[in-house]
Amino acid sequence: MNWLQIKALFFNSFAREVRNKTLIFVFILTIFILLIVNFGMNYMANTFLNDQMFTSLTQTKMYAFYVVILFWNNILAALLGVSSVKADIDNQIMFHLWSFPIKKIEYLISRIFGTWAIVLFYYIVSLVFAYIIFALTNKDFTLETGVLKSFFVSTLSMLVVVTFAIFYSLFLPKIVAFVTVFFTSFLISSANQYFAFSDTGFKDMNVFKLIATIFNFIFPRIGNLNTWANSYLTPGTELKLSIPFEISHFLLTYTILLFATWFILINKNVQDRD
Amino acid sequence: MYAFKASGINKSYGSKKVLIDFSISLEQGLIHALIGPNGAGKTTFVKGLLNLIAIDSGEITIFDQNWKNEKTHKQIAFIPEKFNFYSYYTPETTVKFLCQMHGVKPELIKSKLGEALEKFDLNKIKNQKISTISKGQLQRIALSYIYICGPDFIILDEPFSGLDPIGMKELKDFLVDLRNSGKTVFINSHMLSEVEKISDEITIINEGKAVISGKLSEITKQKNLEEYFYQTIKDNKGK
Repeated sequence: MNWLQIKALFFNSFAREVRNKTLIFVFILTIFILLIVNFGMNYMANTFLNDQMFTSLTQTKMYAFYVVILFWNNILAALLGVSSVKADIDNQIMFHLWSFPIKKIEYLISRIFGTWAIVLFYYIVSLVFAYIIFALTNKDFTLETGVLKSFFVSTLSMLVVVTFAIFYSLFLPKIVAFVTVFFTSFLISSANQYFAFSDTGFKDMNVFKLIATIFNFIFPRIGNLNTWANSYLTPGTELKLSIPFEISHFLLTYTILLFATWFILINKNVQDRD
Repeated sequence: MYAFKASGINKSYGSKKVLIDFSISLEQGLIHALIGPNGAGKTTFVKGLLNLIAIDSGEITIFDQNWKNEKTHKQIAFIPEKFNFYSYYTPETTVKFLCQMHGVKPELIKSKLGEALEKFDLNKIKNQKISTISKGQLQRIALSYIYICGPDFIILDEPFSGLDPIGMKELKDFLVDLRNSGKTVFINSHMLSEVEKISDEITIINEGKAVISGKLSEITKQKNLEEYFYQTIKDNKGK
């Protein structure tokens, strides 16, 4: 492994995106939405709710904060992902980067994890900001360890979104790739939900079920990862998933996705350069 | 010993043959220029040499190792024609980044960076954004990187284009210094007058074929390079 080069590219991805105007815009928007959610719910609580209902609202508000942050993070992962490798191709830097002693798969991994790191950085900053707002406006605030566990699990789905975004950006225009990432995520999540919670499973197979089966088995299960992450935020709910199986499935399907992206990347450049 | 040896290289894009049974070799410690008209296949060959594109057939060895082995790239520094790096980088961070990408240890970069910036007169602009500096200054950034990394084999794609006379003189002096210190330099260019001043050997490529390859002093015995090149391309058109 060429660690020095991987490290250089990893930090280069980070340095490149820190000054990304989209990132700054999404961050400001997140703060704005968090403030609206907080003050809106506080206003409702003070005006309409009794003490018991207020306690229940505290939990709901916490959950709402988390959902907002997670949603924006997935948007950010897709936004940064579609320009991560594409920018190197468009700016004709890829040619130069590959001339250094670095394997093409190492280049790809550096870009994926560099982009993922900046999404995580944003995720952490947003969460800290949300907790500050929450702690300042709620006297009974306590930091639950479940949030931390949920954080680690949900970062995996962001890694998948970043990789899908890079994958699609290699053969689709940026905006189309961005929309396709969300469409794919939606299909995967829906398929995951169906197979995780439906009793009928493979019975009465039809075209839609066949598509759902394909999405459920060949792609990393974003839906199940989110269900797993949410289970830490809602203690007492029964998790119907086998965690060791989900982890094994994730590792296998993510590796396939990574190599598919790598394969398209090396073939893409052959066509682009001359 | 050869710095690189390429034999029987073929490359097509669809039905268009870009390199046809192209062979070339370069002994260590020389400056070799690959010259040819636009679209002759020069850049495609350099891309193949650096394993940036897959060639259809043929073999290349770099310092007796298979060219696909990325370890061979540790001995090579490649300076592309469009040296358009990240616009928000400064000359200092660009040199640092290039050296890191080459695999130079951080301690060595730290100890030689100041010296390199001083040598190539980049100290005054070292914190300026790279998007605001001239082509000549960009070229000096590339030279600083080569100075720190000390590769054995330097490949330059159209190094003279866009340079003013001072920039050209500095570049030529640096390349001759490299050659004199035992390094091998491979230039891909169509600036014949500049190539003629510093090259030891040349290869003329036309329509994907190596038309002639040899010592510059022997090739230019009768005519200067410009005339020889013009006549050779004219004689080989469509062959």
